Amino acid sequence: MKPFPQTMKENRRYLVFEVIGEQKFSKEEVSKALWKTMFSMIGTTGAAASGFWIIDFKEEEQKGMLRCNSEWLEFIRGVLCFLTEVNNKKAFIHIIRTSGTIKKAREKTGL
Amino acid sequence: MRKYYDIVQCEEARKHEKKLGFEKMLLASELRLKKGGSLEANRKAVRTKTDVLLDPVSPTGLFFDTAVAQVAKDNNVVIAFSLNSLLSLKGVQRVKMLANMQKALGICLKMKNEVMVISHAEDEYGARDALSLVGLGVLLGLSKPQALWVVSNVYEGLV
Repeated sequence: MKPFPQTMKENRRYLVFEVIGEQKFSKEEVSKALWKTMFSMIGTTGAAASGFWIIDFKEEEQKGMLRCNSEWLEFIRGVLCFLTEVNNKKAFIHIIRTSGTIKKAREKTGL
Repeated sequence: MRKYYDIVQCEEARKHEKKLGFEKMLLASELRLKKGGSLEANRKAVRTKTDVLLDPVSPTGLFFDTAVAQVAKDNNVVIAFSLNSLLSLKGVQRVKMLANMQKALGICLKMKNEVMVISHAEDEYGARDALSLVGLGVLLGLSKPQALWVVSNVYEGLV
């Protein structure tokens, strides 16, 4: 089998985010809210094409990391504006930093 | 370094001003800001002394054409599109509002109007960070440089 050409490989971006809300939320609650927003705004096909994935979420700090394709970065940022509540409590997502590697994202944000 | 500006409805919404990366969050009450959404309201707003015409469109119709855009341009009225108006709607209404906003923004670009993308937050949870508003601009049909411009550029008379 021929190897997958490097030029066709998707470029990923890692977004470190913080959830600011009325209370602290669990990983499951945040994950559920993020996916709900994604599906309502861009649907299943959009979510698949954007390469959206939640990598990590630390409940103590209320900070997490998600992944998407570089071409969809601005679009995903726009979509995440529409998250208004997590587990029926008011909240919003603040994107702290965007990086090309997980290592750099962790280094710069201390996640 | 680029400076970002936003317009919010109350003092409470300015709580995270610096954290969200804004140079200044302007209060709507300090500006001559008028809400559009109907043909009458839009025409009245652009013909009188107004700084900002907020959301010239509504889910029921576009109500914004090249004639209104031209008058707004002549009278230095900034056309603002807010996230709050989208968040307050649900389902089909939100879809229609988004579609009408995209069309109105297209007219603004064609007529070279001054445009802003703002949060117009009602409380601290309605505010969004500067680059998220850039993302919203992209969602509304702007290119990234255009979206950066509409969030970072503050027009004469607003500050």
